[in-house]
Parts: sequence; structure tokens; C-alpha cells
Amino acid sequence: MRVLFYSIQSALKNLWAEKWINLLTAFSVGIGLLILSTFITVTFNMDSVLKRWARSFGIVVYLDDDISAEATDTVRELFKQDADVLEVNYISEDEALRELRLILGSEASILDDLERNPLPSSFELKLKRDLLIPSYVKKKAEEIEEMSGISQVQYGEKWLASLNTVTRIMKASSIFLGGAILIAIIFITYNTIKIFFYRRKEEIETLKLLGATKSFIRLPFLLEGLIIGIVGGTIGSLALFGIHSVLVAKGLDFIPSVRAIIVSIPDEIFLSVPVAGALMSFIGSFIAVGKIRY
Amino acid sequence: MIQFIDVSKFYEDVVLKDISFSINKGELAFITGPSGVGKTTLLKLIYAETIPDEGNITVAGWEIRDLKQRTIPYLRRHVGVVFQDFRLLHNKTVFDNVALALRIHNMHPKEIKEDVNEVLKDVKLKHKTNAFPQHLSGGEQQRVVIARAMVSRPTVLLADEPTGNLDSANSEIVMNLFKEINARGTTVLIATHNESLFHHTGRRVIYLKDTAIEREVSG
Ligand SMILES: Nc1ncnc2c1ncn2[C@@H]1O[C@H](COP(=O)(O)OP(=O)(O)OP(=O)(O)O)[C@@H](O)[C@H]1O
Ligand SMILES: [Mg+2]
Repeated sequence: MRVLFYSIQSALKNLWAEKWINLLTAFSVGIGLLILSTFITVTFNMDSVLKRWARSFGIVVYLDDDISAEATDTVRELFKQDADVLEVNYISEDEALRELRLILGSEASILDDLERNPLPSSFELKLKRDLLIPSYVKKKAEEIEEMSGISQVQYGEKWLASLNTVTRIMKASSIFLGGAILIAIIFITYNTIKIFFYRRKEEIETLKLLGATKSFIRLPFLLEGLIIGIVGGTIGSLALFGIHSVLVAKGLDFIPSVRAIIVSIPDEIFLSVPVAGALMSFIGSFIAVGKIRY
Repeated sequence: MIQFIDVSKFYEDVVLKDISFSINKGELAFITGPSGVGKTTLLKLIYAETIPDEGNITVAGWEIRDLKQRTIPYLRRHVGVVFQDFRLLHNKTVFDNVALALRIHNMHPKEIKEDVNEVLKDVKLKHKTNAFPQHLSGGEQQRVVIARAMVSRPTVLLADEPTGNLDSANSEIVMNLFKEINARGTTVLIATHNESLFHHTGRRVIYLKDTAIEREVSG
């Protein structure tokens, strides 16, 4: 236990003795984490935007012109029992015509000449969010088209494909950028601790000759890394908080489109950033310390 | 307490060859010989800074040959060393330099303070407690090193040319310190080519010459 006491004391002294390098390192860690957390925030918000988009995605199932009321009910029941389907909306021929009139507006009078409503009645289906994969939706649409009483199935194929691409790109770049930044943070601390280690080579040598154990020698370096990480993380966290506050207060008036992406920020992130910094820096110093031959 | 059996050490050349001797518990003995003969090397073998190429060494019950890297620190805690090149840390005060020898034992800070202050009094450096080594004279630095080696009350004390930087008055102070430590039960081995240290002391003197022990006599 006292080892820890001396190590903390020694770590703090050493950190203070090299305060500029340490501050620089902490700042680099902080900036790395700021970029990462900003990115996470944006991704997080983008994801909820995508979810909102996805909710408006529907499959439109057109029924045969001469379908009976019973057959329509059977089809509706089938859809309602389908576990993949979240929501079923029936749009009768009349409703379809009314909607068309609305869309046409002043041109709607061209519809007056029609003897018969040419529009089919239809069902609009909402699928579960996690099923919105192009290949799956395609299969589903084909299955529905096979059912009796159904003339045609339509859905936004291209739209769905791009939704999917966007989601996938976002996930991939999150992992890639996140990984790169975390590795960078590990490397930054690793480097700083290694420099300290070389600067204190003589001291380490003397400590060894006096009978210091491995942990007595290594612990201060590990703690230094840990503290750098916590300080860096706190810097990053405060910066994120500051930028977010400014954006909310001022930026939104000028660039409203930012609102959708930046408005919500998970509270946990302000704590996670220092924790992540501490963890990564600890790993960095752990690797550096592993190089101390003893 | 210290036993060498047919110990040899080679660097580029043979430094020590088939050295055998033993120092008894509670003894105060000297090793002497011309510069470069291997006095420092012999001491380094005792606290395992270097390992012998041949033969075996026993120190305070530890077989040097069988020591694991992990256990070497525990041997060294029983052996106080006055290094020929001092090995003081220049970014630490006199107090902290001496205290280091106790901190590695995880001793309580309050006890450390007491012990360090007492040993600094013994070496007449109480007034330099908060000075940094580079602001001390050679002789003062020498005494800091001695204080650091003594403070943990080691089983064995090794001193490598401990009076190399001292005038005769200070040499006598230091020698008296060693005698005191020895009287308290610590085995002391001093490497020196200052013959006046052991003349007329009646202590054992081991003469090294050309890689071997030339003779052992009473000083
Ligand atoms: N690490 C080393 N590598 C190579 N040679 C070494 C090493 N250490 C010592 N030597 C050689 O071993 C020989 C003995 O050195 P050592 O320091 O033991 O002599 P010494 O008796 O202590 O001399 P002095 O009285 O000048 O201190 C010298 O020739 C020295 O050059
Ligand atoms: Mg020497």
C-alpha cells in the first residue's frame, strides 16, 4: 500500500518537473478525444436522424382491382400477424383518389372527366428498423407479390440502398476513426513515458542498485501515464462541453442545418472521455514500461 | 557472511581468476591493490551488479548464482554500498537521496524522517539536509553516499574507495563511522588503495595483484 503512496508522490513530482511536456501530451490526448467524442456525438445524432428517416419508409402493396372485401380482410390479417411488419395502413381507392386530388391541386379538374376511379386500393406496410436491408426487403416484396389478390408491390429501392450505404459508411468510419484515434492516444503517451524513462535511466539504475523492486520502479511511470490520460480526457471533455454550449447558444441561429446533428449529446460522454483517456494512456505507459529491462 | 569460491570474472581480459576468500559475520576487512586490479569488480559481484563467469559466491546466505532477477532486490537490501562513483541523484536533495534507500523498503514516512535525520547527523551533514548534491564539495557528497549506504542498517556494508575525496581529518571521521557500524554488527568490506586506512588497525587486508589474491595479512 505504501508503495502506492510513494509512487503517487513520485509520479506527481516527476509530472511537475516536466510540466510542459506533460501538458503538451495531455493536450494532444485531449484533442484526440475531443475529435473522437465530437465524431461519436455526430454519429449518434446521425443515427437517430436515420432512424427517423427509416420510420417513413414503407412498402406499398397494390391490390387487384376486382378484389372482394373478404379477400382484402384476409390480406390485412396476414400482414397484421407478420412479425416483420410494424404497422399496416389500408388506403382505399377513394382515399387514393382524394390524395391524388390534393397533390394535383388546381389541376385536379382533369380527374373529373373520369368515369371510373382508375386507382387501386393498397396497403402500406412499415417494416421493423433492423429489417431494412435491401436484400431482405426485396425478398419480402417478392413474397408478398406471390400472395393472392395482390397486383404489385412497390418500395423505394434506391432510397433504401442509399440509407443502407450511409449507415454502413458511418459505422465503418466510426470504427476506423475511433480505432485510429485511440491508437494515436496510446502512442502519444507511450512516447512521452518512454522519453521520461530514458531521461531517468540513471535514476532507475541507481534505484535498482539500492534494491528497488520492479513494481517500485514501474509504478510511478504507470501512474504518470494514467494522470496524463485523466487530465487530457478532462481537457477534451471540457472542450466538448464548451463547443457544444456555444453551438447551442449561438451557432444554431446561423446554421440551422447543424441543429439536427448537434442538438442532442449524451451526458455519459462527458464522463466517458476522461475514462477513455485514462485507459488509453494507461495502456500506452504500460507498453512503455514493459520496455524497462530489469 | 561473504564467501567466494574459485570465482573468475572476465571482461575483455581476465580481471579476476579463481578468487577464494571469506569474510566472517561481524568482520571489518579491507581489499587493496593497484588501480584497475579489480577491486570495484569484486564488490560488484557481491551485490550482483555483475555475475561471475566461474565459481560461486554466497552473501548473507544468498547463492548469487541461483538468484532470479526478481529476488536480486532483496539481496541488495541487505547490502549497503558506498559507490566509487557516488551515484547520487542530482534532482533530489540530500535528504531525498538518503531517504530513497528506505523508501524502497516501503518504510513509514515518519520513521524515514527520523532515521535520515539521525544518519545525516552522524556524517555531520545535518546543515545540508535540503541542499542538492551538485552544490556540495566532493567530501560532502562522499558522506551523503555513506549515509545512504548506512541508513537502512544493512547486514553487509561495502565501501568502494570511501575516502578518495576526503582529507585526513574527514577520513578519520568516516573510518570511525565504519567502526561504529561494524560494532553494531554489520559486516564491513572496504576497497581502498589508501594504506593509511588499514595500517596499524589489526584488521584483515586482502591484497589483490594480477587477477589473484596475493596475500592476506593483518593491517
Ligand atoms: N564493464 C566493464 N567492461 C569492460 N571492462 C571493465 C568493466 N568494468 C571494469 N572493467 C575492467 O576491469 C578491470 C578492473 O576494474 P575495476 O574497476 O574493478 O578496478 P579497480 O581495482 O576498482 O580500480 P580503481 O582502484 O582505479 O578503482 C579494469 O581493467 C577495467 O578496465
Ligand atoms: Mg574501483
